Amino acid sequence: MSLLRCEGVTKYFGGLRALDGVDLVVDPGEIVGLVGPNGSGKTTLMNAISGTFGINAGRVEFDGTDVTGMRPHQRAHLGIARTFQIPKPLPSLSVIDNVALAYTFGRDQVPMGRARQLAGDLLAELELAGKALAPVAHLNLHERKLLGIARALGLEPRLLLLDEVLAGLNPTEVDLGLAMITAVRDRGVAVIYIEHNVKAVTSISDRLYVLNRGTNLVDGNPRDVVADERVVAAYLGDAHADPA
Amino acid sequence: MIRNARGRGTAGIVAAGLLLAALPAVSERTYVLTLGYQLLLWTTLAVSWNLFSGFANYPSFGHGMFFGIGVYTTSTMLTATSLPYGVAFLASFAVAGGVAVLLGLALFRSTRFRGDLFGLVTLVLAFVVATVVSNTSLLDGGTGVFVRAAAEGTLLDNSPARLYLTVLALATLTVVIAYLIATGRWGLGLTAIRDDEEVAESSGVNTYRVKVLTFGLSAGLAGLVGSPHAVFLGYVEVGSVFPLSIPLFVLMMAILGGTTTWFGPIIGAVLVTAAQQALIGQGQAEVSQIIIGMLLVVLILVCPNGLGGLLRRRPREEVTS
Repeated sequence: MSLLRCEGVTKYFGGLRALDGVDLVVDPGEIVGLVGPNGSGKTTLMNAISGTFGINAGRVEFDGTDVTGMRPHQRAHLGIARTFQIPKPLPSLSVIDNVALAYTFGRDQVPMGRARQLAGDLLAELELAGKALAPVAHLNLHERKLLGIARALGLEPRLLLLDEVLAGLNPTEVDLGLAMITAVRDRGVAVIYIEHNVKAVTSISDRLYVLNRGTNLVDGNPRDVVADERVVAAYLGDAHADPA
Repeated sequence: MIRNARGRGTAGIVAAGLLLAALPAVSERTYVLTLGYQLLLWTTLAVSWNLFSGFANYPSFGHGMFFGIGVYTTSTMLTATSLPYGVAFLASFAVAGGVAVLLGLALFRSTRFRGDLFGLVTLVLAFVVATVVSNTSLLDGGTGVFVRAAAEGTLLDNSPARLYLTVLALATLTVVIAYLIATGRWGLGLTAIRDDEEVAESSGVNTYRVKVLTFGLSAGLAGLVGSPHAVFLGYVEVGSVFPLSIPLFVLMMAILGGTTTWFGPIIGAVLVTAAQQALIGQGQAEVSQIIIGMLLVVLILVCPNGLGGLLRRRPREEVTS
């Protein structure tokens, strides 16, 4: 059975139709890349899945449960975790408490002492242990993104939504990031991964979805999808898609 | 021996409370006990305000209203019923807390009601409650309520020492609660709400529930300390129970002391009350308001995180991107 099933997800912002009947399916333990031109609705779909706002039509189902009307913390308890496009570390908390927050308020409501222990272990795995007690202001962009991922993993999720976690990073950091996403998947966590860097996303995705103007354009095997004429047209214009 | 740090901290606060309980044995002068009463009353109000409005950054102008609801719950129950004082005492907590919970359930459904708008709603509501009390003959009806005779022979018995000890117990309770919240899981959730509610929610925090319950607890404690205050006043009337100066002073004390720590509001409450008493003692009641107001402006400019912020070990720095 699929882990996540979105059917006909539709979202208006005033008169703007940000999502118009989008379908998406994610199976347990797979990496699904989500690409599309700016304004195609990728982040809006992410928000619809994590519950940041309600949707106008359609349905989101997680592990057989209809979560369409649920609030974000309820979805977090079921196993949906997310990062933010612009990392949002909580500035009043130390690095370790940013992660302990997710452990102690997550599904298992781990007591504080244990939550800090688990957070420390996770930060060590992500090579952030050295900054565990630092204020988040001391982190650089790469580390803030890692912290966002750590906080999401602190929920011990079954689905991780990553919104452009590699944007703005240097090539070495991108490679480290890709290796980390694969490592997360290998723990059995499914990943939906929004990315502008098409080369990066095709290299690790099991399947790729392309959105365009709030609708599904193409989906399937990454290699086939990036070669698809419609995808090239959406990104570069019709002239490039059809040289004849 | 109490091994964990929070147990030791709690024991320390209780020990300080017990030490202060010796005051009536040291001096029976009404002036001394009344000064102690004032310090503890404002400490309770400022610390309880801070539980929600400070920790979660939802500045409320309604704390005087919840305090006043506690005052009137007790005055009404003492004069209109023959129930023992203990019942009125607990009812003051329940009514004030209950009003806040209902208000929270309605307001926090929408995330729009934070910041200025939340402050404005609580301010307006305070006027509504004062008007209702003033026009309901059971509660007040505009004539005021004589509590002194009704309190005769009750637990408090109009005794300055008993009033002092009651408020001391409430201040100790409130500080212990603030300490345990600030150093525990609940405080972590409130801090996350203060920093970014969207992140708090997506990290698993049921922000709605945390806000409603904490607001209720904060208001309930203000109502609770309103209960002995009805007896302290002896004669209760709307003008002196619901003045705008009470929520403003509470806000000022908490901000002055620092809203991100459990102990900050204690510092603010003690400093402001002491300064006020000293100036009033000089016969300068009006000047005192001006001086205290100006002190606040200067202090906020010098240390925006309050005096408590200066004492905190971990620096709180702004994130730049």
